[in-house]
Amino acid sequence: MAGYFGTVGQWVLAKAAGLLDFCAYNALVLRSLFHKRRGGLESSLSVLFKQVFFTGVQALPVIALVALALGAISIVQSLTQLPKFGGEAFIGKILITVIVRELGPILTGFIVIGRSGTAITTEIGNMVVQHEIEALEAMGIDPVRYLVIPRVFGVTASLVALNIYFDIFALVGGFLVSKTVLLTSFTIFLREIVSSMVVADIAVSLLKGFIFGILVSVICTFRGFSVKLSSTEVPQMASKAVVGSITALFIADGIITFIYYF
Amino acid sequence: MNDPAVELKDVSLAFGNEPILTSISIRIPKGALVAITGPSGCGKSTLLKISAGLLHPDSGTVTIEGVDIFNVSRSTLYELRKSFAFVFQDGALISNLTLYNNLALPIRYHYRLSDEEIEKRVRAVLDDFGLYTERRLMPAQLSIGQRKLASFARGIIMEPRLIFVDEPVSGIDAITTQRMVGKLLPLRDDNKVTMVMVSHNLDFIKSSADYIALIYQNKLFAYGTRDDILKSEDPILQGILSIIVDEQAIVAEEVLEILSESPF
Amino acid sequence: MAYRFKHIEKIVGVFLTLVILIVVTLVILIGRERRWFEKQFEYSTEFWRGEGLNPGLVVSIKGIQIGEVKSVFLNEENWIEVRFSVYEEYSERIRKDSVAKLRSPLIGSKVLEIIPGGKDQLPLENGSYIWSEDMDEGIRILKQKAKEEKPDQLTRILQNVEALTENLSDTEGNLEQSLAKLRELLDMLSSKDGSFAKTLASIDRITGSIEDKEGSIGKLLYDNYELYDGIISIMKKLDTIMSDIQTLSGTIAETSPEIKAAIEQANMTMDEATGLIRTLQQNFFVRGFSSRKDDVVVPLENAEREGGYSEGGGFGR
Repeated sequence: MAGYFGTVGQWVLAKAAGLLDFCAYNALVLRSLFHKRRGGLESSLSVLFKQVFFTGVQALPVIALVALALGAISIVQSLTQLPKFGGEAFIGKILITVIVRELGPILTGFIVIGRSGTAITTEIGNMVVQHEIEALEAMGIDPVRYLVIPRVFGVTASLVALNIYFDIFALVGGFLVSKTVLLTSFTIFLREIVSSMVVADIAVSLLKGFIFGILVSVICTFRGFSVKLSSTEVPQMASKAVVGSITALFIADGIITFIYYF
Repeated sequence: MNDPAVELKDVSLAFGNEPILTSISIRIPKGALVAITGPSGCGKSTLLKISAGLLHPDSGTVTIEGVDIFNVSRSTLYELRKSFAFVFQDGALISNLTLYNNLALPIRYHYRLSDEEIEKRVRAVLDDFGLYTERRLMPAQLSIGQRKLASFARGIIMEPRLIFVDEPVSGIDAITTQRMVGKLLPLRDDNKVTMVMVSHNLDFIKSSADYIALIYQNKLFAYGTRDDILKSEDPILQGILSIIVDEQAIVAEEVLEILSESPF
Repeated sequence: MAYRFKHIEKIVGVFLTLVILIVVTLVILIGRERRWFEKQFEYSTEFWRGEGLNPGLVVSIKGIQIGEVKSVFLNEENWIEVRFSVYEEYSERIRKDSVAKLRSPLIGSKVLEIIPGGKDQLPLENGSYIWSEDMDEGIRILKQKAKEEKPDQLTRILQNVEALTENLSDTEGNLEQSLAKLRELLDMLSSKDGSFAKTLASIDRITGSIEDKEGSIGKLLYDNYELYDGIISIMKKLDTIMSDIQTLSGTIAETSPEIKAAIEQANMTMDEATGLIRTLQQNFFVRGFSSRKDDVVVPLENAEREGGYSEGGGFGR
């Protein structure tokens, strides 16, 4: 009995310690974010560009595919189902809420976690194992500044950008796909979308991309640095990073939606 | 000797219940080459990492150029490390950068220089180390010896005052060893540069070190000038020295023979 | 390496620039849809009550949106002060004698309807104050306009519907009174000692005295017979219409869900009734009743709404 509670207690303590570590890590990231320093910008900038290239540009095909599928499905469904009970007036609003506000950011987040989140954790984990982090430290290069900050910026910028691409692919591409089934004219559809879109929709989409990007990059880099000695820890940490990021994404999504409609 | 480059005081470290280092104090004089040696698994490399501030000891202090490196802000420490070099046993090059960019990285990070300026410096160093033709290769495409050389080159490019070297001549082929030694010795003779080296190649130590620190069973067993240590009559000390064996000793011996004939 | 690096930079640059372009385009599109980039003219007015008045409400002239309500607040005199914007292209329609009215369509939120000013009046400057239907001046202008302008079909129907819905929600309202009055009128028309019967009798007498004579009077008489037949048929029609209205009001009381159709029917009926009464009015034989017609129709047609109209509130009773 005591053993059981002891296990639970240890589990809670371990979780709390992990959370504390994570908070300390966040503080470190924040500090190096605001720490002024000459130089260093260019090397970090090149990492940033590479990160945007890998996370953003190379994810475009997947994003396009998912967006096309989702867009086509929701457009066909809403254009055929809604008029059955007099809901034509809400087609634009529903599509925008579903695609731009909710599913777009979440699905983009998932794709980025799957593609880049794991890559970041694995890369940093391997760097720890191969003493590359130590090497950076020894050269006086702040690993947080050199590795984490550009990844946070890169993943965030990519997620924000991918979000917008997702919306465009889903709304425009999705419509073109559904044109094979439907007869609605493109201009009418576009007008409907634009007239039922408010700036808050775009703002929420951008904000979600921004927050998800920060969450994913910080959690995944943290998990990467959590690798201590052996390379067997790397895949473990990668899966932890995925689970953690997805959980964080859902919680953040809930909070943002709650705050918006509060 | 009054103003040491690096000073370790009472440094202890344990992994769990197993002690790695127990109460080690060393003063490393400026401009000297100190070789830390000892049998395998005695914590030499750990001591080197602690000296460079890469590893936190459980207790004790490390002072580099008067700065207590475990009690300063990270930014001060990074600033200080600009003038350090740490040559890793396995090279520890950044694996997703080419050799060229690995060398350019610290310059780019610490200084605002034009691309041409950086190119000039990197090229000079790479030429010097005979690695210029490999500049576009990724670290994984280089041989171990080349990686070690590159790691050294990466340290040298920042024109350091203090160089930590972990096993410079073990596990590499004769020619690379020759190149490595050829780079190391001039730096030893440079009075502005202090070197701390870990090696268990006694022959190499004999031919290069100014001071020798002998670690045995987690403790600093003996520390003194090369001659003091090597010519000591102490049977235990000689016994310890006799069990320090480098797997590549034979290769190194050959090299040292060649070296003894060479001008440096 | 140098080349590849630049290559990545270019791609990433295009990737990010495109996003910025898309966002800017979207914002501009939305802004154009919302008319952000046009100069907006602001006016203010005051209402006595503020139910259903809130920022974002559509401001319209004859059902076409010309702007939107910007702010609504209760001022020191306890009037509801409303500030609203008008698109540049319509700003000239706001003139000195414009009046703001609150209209409640059957479905959806209220509309701030502006009665455009007369062409002879000066346009109001940006930031001016205009009269509302709740103010004496506004009421005066509205009445004057009602006299001047012959309302078109749609306005009349809309006015009727509005008045009707207002009345329907009030059992002791104008409809009941109007119906009572109509019934009175019908009674009068059918009663034997009513003036209509008297007229008929006098026509009878006249025809009797004229019958044996021939010539132009006889021809006129034949015409008069036609006229007479016309009047009779009109009266019959009127009678059925009235009974329609009676059954309709009964239906309304019973069934609220079918109210929309009922109101449409009622409206058509009312319209027909108005038309009929107009025809009667023009006929010299029934001119004697024309003064009464005002009593019947005017409260329906030009009835000013009293107080707020709450949707369906009165129907469910």
